[in-house]
Formats: sequence, C-alpha cells, structure tokens
Amino acid sequence: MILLTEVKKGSRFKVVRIDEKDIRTQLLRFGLGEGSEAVCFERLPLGPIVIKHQRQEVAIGREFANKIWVEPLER
Amino acid sequence: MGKSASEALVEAEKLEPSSSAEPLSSALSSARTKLVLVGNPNVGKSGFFNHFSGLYVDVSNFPGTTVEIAHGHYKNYDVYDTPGIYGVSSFNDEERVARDTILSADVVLNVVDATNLERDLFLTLQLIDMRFRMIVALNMMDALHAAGLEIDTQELERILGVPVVEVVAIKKQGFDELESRLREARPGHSDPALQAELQSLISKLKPTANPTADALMILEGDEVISERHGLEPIDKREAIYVARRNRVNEIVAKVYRQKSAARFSAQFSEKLGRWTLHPITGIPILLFALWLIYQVVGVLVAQRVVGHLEVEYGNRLWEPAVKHLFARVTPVSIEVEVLEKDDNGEYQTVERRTFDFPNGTHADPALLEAMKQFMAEKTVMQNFTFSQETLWGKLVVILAGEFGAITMTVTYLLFLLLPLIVGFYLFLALLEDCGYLPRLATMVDRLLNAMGLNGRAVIPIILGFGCVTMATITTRLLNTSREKTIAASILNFAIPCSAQLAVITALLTKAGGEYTLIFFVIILANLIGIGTVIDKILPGKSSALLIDLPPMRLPRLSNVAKKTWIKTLSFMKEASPWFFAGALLISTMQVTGLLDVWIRLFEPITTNWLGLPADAARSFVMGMVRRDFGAAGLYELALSPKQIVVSLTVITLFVPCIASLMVLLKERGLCEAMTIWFGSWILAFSIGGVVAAVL
Repeated sequence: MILLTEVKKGSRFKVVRIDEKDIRTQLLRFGLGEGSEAVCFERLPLGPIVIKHQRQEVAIGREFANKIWVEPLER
Repeated sequence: MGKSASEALVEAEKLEPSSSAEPLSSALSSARTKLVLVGNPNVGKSGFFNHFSGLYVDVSNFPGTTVEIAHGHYKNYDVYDTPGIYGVSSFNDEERVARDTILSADVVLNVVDATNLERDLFLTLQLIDMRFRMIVALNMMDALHAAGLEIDTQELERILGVPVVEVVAIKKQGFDELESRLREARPGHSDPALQAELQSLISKLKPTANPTADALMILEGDEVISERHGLEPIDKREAIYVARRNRVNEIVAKVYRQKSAARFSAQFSEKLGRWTLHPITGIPILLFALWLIYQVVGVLVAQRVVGHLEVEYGNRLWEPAVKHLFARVTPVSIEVEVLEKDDNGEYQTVERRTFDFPNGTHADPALLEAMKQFMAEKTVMQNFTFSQETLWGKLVVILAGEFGAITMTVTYLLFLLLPLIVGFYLFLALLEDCGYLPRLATMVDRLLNAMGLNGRAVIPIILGFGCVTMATITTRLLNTSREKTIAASILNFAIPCSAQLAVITALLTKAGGEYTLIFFVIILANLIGIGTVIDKILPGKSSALLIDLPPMRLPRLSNVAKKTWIKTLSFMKEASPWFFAGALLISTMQVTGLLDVWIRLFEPITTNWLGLPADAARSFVMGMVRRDFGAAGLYELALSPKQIVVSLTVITLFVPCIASLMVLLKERGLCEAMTIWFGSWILAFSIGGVVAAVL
C-alpha cells in the first residue's frame, strides 16, 4: 500500500483508505470511494495529482493526496 | 384533444394517497409551479434555462454571496436556475444558495451530463431520495456518441422511475420532447429502507415545502436545515453517501455500453487538457491567454473604447449637461477651451475664454447665448468653477463638481468601468466555459500554496488586474475565511488594476527597459512577500485543492454571452452604490478643505524621504479616489527614470481606491479593512523610501 503522491504517472490503482472524513465525503460525490479504481493521469512537480476515473478527471492537492492510500494494480 | 397515455398516468399518480411526497404548495395547486433546474457544474444547464425562460430574466444575488440565481417564466412555470453543485449540502456558498432554492421546488429538472453518469447520478439519486417530482434531461448525447458510448435510456428511466429525455442542448435537440414530458415529472424509485427511516423523522419536522427533502438533509448531518427544525443533525452522511455511490455504480454498469473507439475530437480534447495542466506546456498556454486578454481588454477596451467613451460621452456630453443644470441657479465661472486636432491627431487647446455668471446662468441669458455662439460648431471642453461661498455652492460641488457624485461617478461607472467589467467577465466566461480555469487552478496550485492559498485563488488574482473591487467580491469563492483574508490583502496591497496599468505602462516606456524590469521585480517581490508573511502570521491552515476537471471543449457563445451579462449586471448593482458613497466622501473632504490638509501632510515625506517633487503628494492622495487619478497626476510631472520607479512603486502599493475600500469593509469587516488600508500607507512609503535610497 502506498500513498497517492507516490503513484507513477499512467499507472492504475485502487483506493484503499482515505484518512480524512471531509475528503472522503467530497470524493464520494465526485464518484470516488474506497475500493474505486482510477488512473494517475498527470503529476505536477511538487503540485497536485490529477487522477482519471471513468471519463472524469479530478485534481487533488498534494496535501490531500498525502492522506489517500492506494494499491497499485497490474495493467 | 385526447389525453395521451402518459398524461393519464401522471394524473393517476397524483391521486395516489402517498401525498407526503408531493410538495405542499403543488398539492394546494397554486396557479404557478416552481420549476428548479439542478445539475452538476458544466453540464450545460444554462442552455436549458435560456430555452425555457427566453430573453427576459431576473437576476438576484443571494444575501451575502455573489452567487446569482436567475429566474424566468415559462408557461405556468416559474423557472429557477441554480449554481452547479455535486450534491445538495452546505459545503460552500454555491451549495448553500442552491440548497435553499432546491428545497422550495415543486418540480425539479435535473440536467445530467450523459458522458459523466458516474458523477452526475449521485446528485440525481439524492434528489430522488428527496422525493421531488422530477424529470431528468440527459444532455450532451452528441459528446457521448463521439466518445463511442451509448446509454440505454429506457432502462435508466425504468430504474430511476422518472422520465429521462435525451437532449443535445447546444443544438436544441430534444427540447420538444422535454417540454411535452415535463408534465410527467414524478417522484422516482428511492431506497425503501432509507425512506422508512425518513418517514419516522418527518413527524418531528416543522411545516415545510418538502418534508422528505428536509428530513434527508438532517439525516445527512446538515446543520442549517436541522436548526430550522429545532433538531440536532444526525450524522449518517457517510453511510448514506457510500450506499448511494454503490447504487450509482450498479446503475452505470447496467446502462452504459462501449460501442466503438473514441473519435479524434474527443482524444484531442483530452490531449489539450493535458497540455494546459503541465507547466512545460501550460505556462506558454497561460502566457498566450494573458497576452490575448491584455490585447483585447487592456489595449482595445481600456485604451481605445474607454478613451473614446469617457471623453466624448462622459466629459463632453454628460458632465456639462448636468453642470449646466446646476449652473442656472449657482454662481459659476465657465472656462471654455477650444480644441483642435494637431498633426498627430491629438487634441490641443487653441483658444480659451472665460464666462462669469455671478448669479447663475439663468440670470444672464445674453451672456449664456454669447457663450453658445462662441462654442458653436467647435470641439470644446467646458471647465466649471462653482462658487463655494454659500452652503448651496458647496453642495453643488459635492454633487456636480470635479469628483461629483452625479458627474464623475456616472462617467466613471458607465463609460470607464462598465466596458472593462464586460471585457473581463467575457474572458472569464470564455475560459470557464471551455474548461480551462480549473486546469489553470491546478497548474498554479503549488505556487499559490506558498502564500497559503490554493489554486482556486488564481481567479480573483487575475480579475484583480482588471478591477480590484470586482476581484475582492470574487474572493468569496474561496473556501475558508483565512484564504479570503490572504487573497483580499494581496489584491488590495500589491495588484495594480487596469485603470492604473495603462498609465503605468506609459510612464515605464518613458523610464526605459532597465527600470521597467526593476519595477516588476519590486512589485512581484512584494506580492509574494505579503502573501507569505500573512500566511505565516495568521493562525490555522488553508484548505487543499480538490476540483474536478471538465472536458476541454469549444465555448458556446450563447452561454458565454448570458454569463457575461448576468455577472456584469450583478456587479454593477452591487458595486455602484459604493462608488457613489466614495465620491460623496471625497467631494465633502474637498469642499471642507480636509483634502488639502491631507495632501500638505504628505508633502514633507514625498520630498525628503522619497525624493520626489511636492506635487507628487497630490497624486498619491488623489489615488485614494480613483487609482488612475494618482497615476495620471504623475504623468504631468517631469520625473527622472529613478523617480518614476519610486513613484510607481508607491502608487501601486498604495491604498485601494475608495470603492474597493468600501467593498473590503463589507466583505472583510472593519478591523481587517482598516489594517489593510493603513498598512498600505506604511508599506507604500517605506518600500518607496527604500527603493529611493538604494537606486
């Protein structure tokens, strides 16, 4: 299990745990919950991580990304 | 005409005893039905609103927010647009405003982006759980097909239990069907267990438009709605959200079908989106966008259009007309300047004549006639000097003098500010509609984090270069009070607005390239410095970025036009009174001599500490009225390049204009506004002094 900030660009992953309630509820509304699969679409140097889930892109600030635990998946 | 089967079905549904699901007002069958449009951000909701409400639209600002609710009429419906939201709750201003409008709805038209069902159905299911009579419009069916996808609409309709209509709003396809099926709007299939839980809660509620909806809000832990019913919020939000999310996923799995590979345009839009995000490609794209805005708003509108409107219509038409009206009964001396264009096409004064009316123009029709004869067929500028010996004379100066509330303020608002505001909101709407803004926010997020802001703050900061007053209002879109304070400070301390920029640019051209660079470094260092320092001083921490990035697409012009119009209108409504108030204040200070006292107070600092001519003090103080007044005053002084840099640094960092101050007071409170205002004096003069000593 690694943090979302450590995911490589272009790789698939599964969300395992989100350590803050506020982020959890907000992400649920965007369509992402614990157990959802997504792809790391873009990583900005020291900045936000952009993930792609189905056809939707969500930008997650670094501070939030550091609270999201994910499991990398084989392609 | 016979009734169609579906209409009969609706009537049957209405007769059902489950009337608790029906909003009270519609059960009483009031003549008009409140139809509320609800949808996620960027689903094309405004296209629907425009279709239903036509041209005539009321825009109202919700108290304490800049969130606009547009309202129109369609047949026996009152149609309300709401801001785009991901769910009904109270996370931010948009949501709070949307929440109250939605909760009072009779019928909900839920607009859904067909390409984004995973996200959008979450809101749809929440609305269904609230037992609204509703209808779903599946918009952007063309984009869905371009992405090689299909939706089984009939199956979706069966699962949801409400009518689902396919629409392509930009091409106006499907609106006929939507209109004809509007009457079929009905409560859909909710989760029975959840409904049972809600029923037990409903009996405890005070009377309300839709008890089920209020009960759901309470169950989801909404504090505002709970308080309205005198109940404690029940925090089951997460459990309900997870269950709803799972239902959405099940539905999506059943109705989506991949037909073919995505078309080229869809792939291109994704690539473009990626380019705007990454700094290597994103920064050149940003620079191009800024250059374009500068060319259109900064050069074309600010210089050409405003230059023409302000002089021709403001200074030469409106103001003399008003002043002549007062001059009829007020002792006045009118100096007429005759202007002629020189070889460069610029106006030069070729002749001057003064006409004295010691008892007002009404008392001396012969002289007035002579003056008219003198001015006939000539381009002239009339300068009025009203006698201030009587109280009436003073009042006339306050209303119609140099900074008069009726003269200067009207010219300023209509002929200077309005075109600029339209220009800026137009670009903002364009960038918003094509999906660029959230990507820009993402790209600059890291940079703004250093100042305790997140990427969203890029919007007020860019707007600040247009009008700091407008930008200060926009700081409301930021999440926390802390971020609003930081953004408002940066704006009011260090960002020169477009009114100043033109004069600053002209002065810097005189000073030369090297000094221009020095000026930019000073201002940029201050901007970052102020942000960083305030971030360190203020307790707490700022919120991180979390935004969704809608697909990049061509902006839709009707949408952009409507947005620009609505935003401009609400800005003018909200800000105008403050411009009038500011003008009254300054005119009063001028008439009572306080303004001169103030200017003389600053002369020693200006000459000794900054090394500038004494007249520069006047420019600085005038900058309080309108920031371009300050800059323009400097233009007329003979300054060395070094003095130019010093004085421009001072006026850029100096206090915000009086309208900004008023908005700042309203937005951020007395204490914060005063800290920023007095802080600006100190900062501007100390940095200016340091620059003068070092250069």
